[in-house]
Amino acid sequence: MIELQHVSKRFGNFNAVSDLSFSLHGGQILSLIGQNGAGKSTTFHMILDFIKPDSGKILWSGKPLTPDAITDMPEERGLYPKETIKSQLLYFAALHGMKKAEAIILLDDWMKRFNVVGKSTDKIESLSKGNAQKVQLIACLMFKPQLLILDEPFSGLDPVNSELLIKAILAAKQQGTMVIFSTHNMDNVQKLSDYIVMLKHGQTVLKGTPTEIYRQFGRLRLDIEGYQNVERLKRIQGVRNVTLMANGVHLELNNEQCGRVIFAEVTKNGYVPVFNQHYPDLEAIFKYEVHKKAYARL
Amino acid sequence: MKILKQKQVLAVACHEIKGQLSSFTYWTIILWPLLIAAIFERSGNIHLDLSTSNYLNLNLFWGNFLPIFIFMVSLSYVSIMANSVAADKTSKISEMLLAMVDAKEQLIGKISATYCLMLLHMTIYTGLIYIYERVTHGFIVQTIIKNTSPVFFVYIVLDAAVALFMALVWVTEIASYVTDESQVAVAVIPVMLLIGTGTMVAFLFNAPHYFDAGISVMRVYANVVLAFPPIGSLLMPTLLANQNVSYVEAYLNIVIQLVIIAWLLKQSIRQYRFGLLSSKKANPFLSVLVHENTGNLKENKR
Repeated sequence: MIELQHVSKRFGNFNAVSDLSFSLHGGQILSLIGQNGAGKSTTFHMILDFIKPDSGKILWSGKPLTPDAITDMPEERGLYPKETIKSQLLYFAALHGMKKAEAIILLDDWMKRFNVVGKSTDKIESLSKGNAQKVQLIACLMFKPQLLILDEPFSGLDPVNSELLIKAILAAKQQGTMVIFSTHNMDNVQKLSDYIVMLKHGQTVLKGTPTEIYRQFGRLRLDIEGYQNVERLKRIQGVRNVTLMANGVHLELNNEQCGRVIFAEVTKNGYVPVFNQHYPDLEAIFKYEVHKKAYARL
Repeated sequence: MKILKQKQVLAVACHEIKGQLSSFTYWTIILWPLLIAAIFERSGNIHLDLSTSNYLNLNLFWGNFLPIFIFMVSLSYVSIMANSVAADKTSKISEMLLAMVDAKEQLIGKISATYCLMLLHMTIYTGLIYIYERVTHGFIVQTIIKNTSPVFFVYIVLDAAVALFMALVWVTEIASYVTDESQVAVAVIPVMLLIGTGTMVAFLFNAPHYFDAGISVMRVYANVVLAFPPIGSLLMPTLLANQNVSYVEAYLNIVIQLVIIAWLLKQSIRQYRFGLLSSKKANPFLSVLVHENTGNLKENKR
């Protein structure tokens, strides 16, 4: 288990991370979200023991941190371009104390799993950007770390390769690896996260499981198909905004309860194929938290 | 844990050695002095008559030779080290590597690899000299080494190692701030300027009887100044060769230099770690030199 207790870090007058706390157990995935400069990379650097927090503690199973069991794929990543995939990963294997024979078997296995185009004897400079990124991911995943840190792992990956990465992260989770990742892609946050922490200028503005976060905002969005009487809907108390769509309407509500009134109204004349009162998606929540002053409500 | 760290140092060192052995740069470093020596041998018509050489003359030879040797070796291996660190930085692999292996192990691994490469370099030269002397029946180098006092010979080997160590520690620190491969030369310049200055001063010190006037004041001054690595490594052999300092002073100087280097290494590891993670900040030397270069370019454009 990794636990951050009231961790803060300043660089001069700039407050990079302020009073950040969370804990993560084996087999859990935490996504750290926020705008550029929110403090995500600084948090990763503190977990990796590259920099020391000014205050607070980072504990590893209740003891001071030992970063040996952590692998990291940073946002700014690369490999030695003149080296082959094999020599590169054998070097990393040696740094992890893994035997050469074992590393070669694992490398072949991971190259197949990630569909890396080419042979292990190909030079990194001859690989496409996507394939080079897969090799970097292999370098993180093949050593079965206890904690895996991925800073923007989906950037530069096409949808097919993103899916492969999601599968690999979920496979690591099943093996008991703790995963902390940052991304600007909220779909992937939704797909992967057991726990979400959102930072804004170093401050924690959102924290919890996806369900807990959604509940903070309530089911204030409503999609109805097969009903298009906008004027009638606008007159219902609690409706903030109504947008006419191709097959129906999209509503924004002031409270969850008015959903019942709307349901009664739209089904008065019989069947509607879709009535979906839902939480705002993470992207909307993210935008709301970033521009809180500009948005009166979601 | 300790074994793993030693294994990591070994892994870094092996990776460096493997990389250098397959590089053109390393073999060029070995070949070009051989080419120059061959040209001199063919056209220079140099004859060194050692039959009349006494102990002092041989020491004077070492006093002149060693600063040049340290300068040449430093120039070669400081460049190799700077390129290696810059390659880590510019290929954007530094952070990933730092997560696997601490800056301390990386730095010690790289320095160890450089010493191994230098050892191989010297072994090749020794072998070639041995073959050459067998063929030509010259035996000049063998005679020089045979006639050199063993205590002095051990000292000069240690001295060269200390000087190179300092140069490597310093260049690593500066090169860790390199953000572009074109800046490698700028990382090498400050180190080589210091070593070059030391070499020049060593030649001046080698002028006969420099220390004769006011020797006691000069000796106190020299012992303080020479404690700073690598100035001591460059000047001390000359002073020792001229018998201006004693062996006790010379060996004590190495010990003091090593203590200072150990402290500098500690600082350097911190700077190296910070430099590898930073893409925005520059080492003071680097920022001044790069800024000046950019300034000159702008002036030229105008």
